[in-house]
Amino acid sequence: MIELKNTRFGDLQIQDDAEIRFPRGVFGFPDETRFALLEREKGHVSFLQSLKTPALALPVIDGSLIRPEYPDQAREDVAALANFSSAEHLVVLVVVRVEPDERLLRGNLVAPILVDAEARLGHQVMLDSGKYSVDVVLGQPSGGASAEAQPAR
Amino acid sequence: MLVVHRKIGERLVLSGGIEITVVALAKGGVRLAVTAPKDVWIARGEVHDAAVSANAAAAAAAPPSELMTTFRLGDTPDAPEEPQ
Repeated sequence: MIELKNTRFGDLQIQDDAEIRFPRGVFGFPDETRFALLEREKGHVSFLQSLKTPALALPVIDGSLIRPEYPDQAREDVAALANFSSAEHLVVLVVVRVEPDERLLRGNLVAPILVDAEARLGHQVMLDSGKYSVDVVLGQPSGGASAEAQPAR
Repeated sequence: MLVVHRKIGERLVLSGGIEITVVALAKGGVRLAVTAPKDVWIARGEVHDAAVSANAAAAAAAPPSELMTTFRLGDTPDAPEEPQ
């Protein structure tokens, strides 16, 4: 069991097998090589919680929720970008953020985080074909209740 | 750092199966063609920098987690396919 103090969600206990290794970190955080995906009971936003830095959690959503075909490439080609052996367990995550003043969900579609849910490996990659933007409005508030974060996948 | 002179049609060859060819010269710019293996992504520097900044903004400026549970996707006409 991995114990984290003072995360965004308070103190957390995370199962060892929830860990996802990011050998190269993520953009801007090259030394953050261990994360767990915290999914919530309600809402589409999950959090990639650093297992090294409790204060660091990247909000993400499953890219297939944006559009089933995102990122508009053969899944095998997407998986190959991260050097995954297959696309069978590929999960494409999009980093999102919220500007509290405007209350809009914004996502970076250029740089998805690719996870092999079976191998527990993650890589953030660039899809700079000119098709996507780093700052796209994905949605707006719709109401709903909060829920406790739970380690998953 | 390597600085070399290349003409149109000439290439640079890098390890790992990467090749960069000068395709055209234009006012104030040069057009490059890059070939690389499938596990190598290629991005313009400024777009990569923006992705780094976007990660930092997402990590630092995210609002209370309670708010993050209340979003429903696709509520705005602003399509995710917004061009750059």
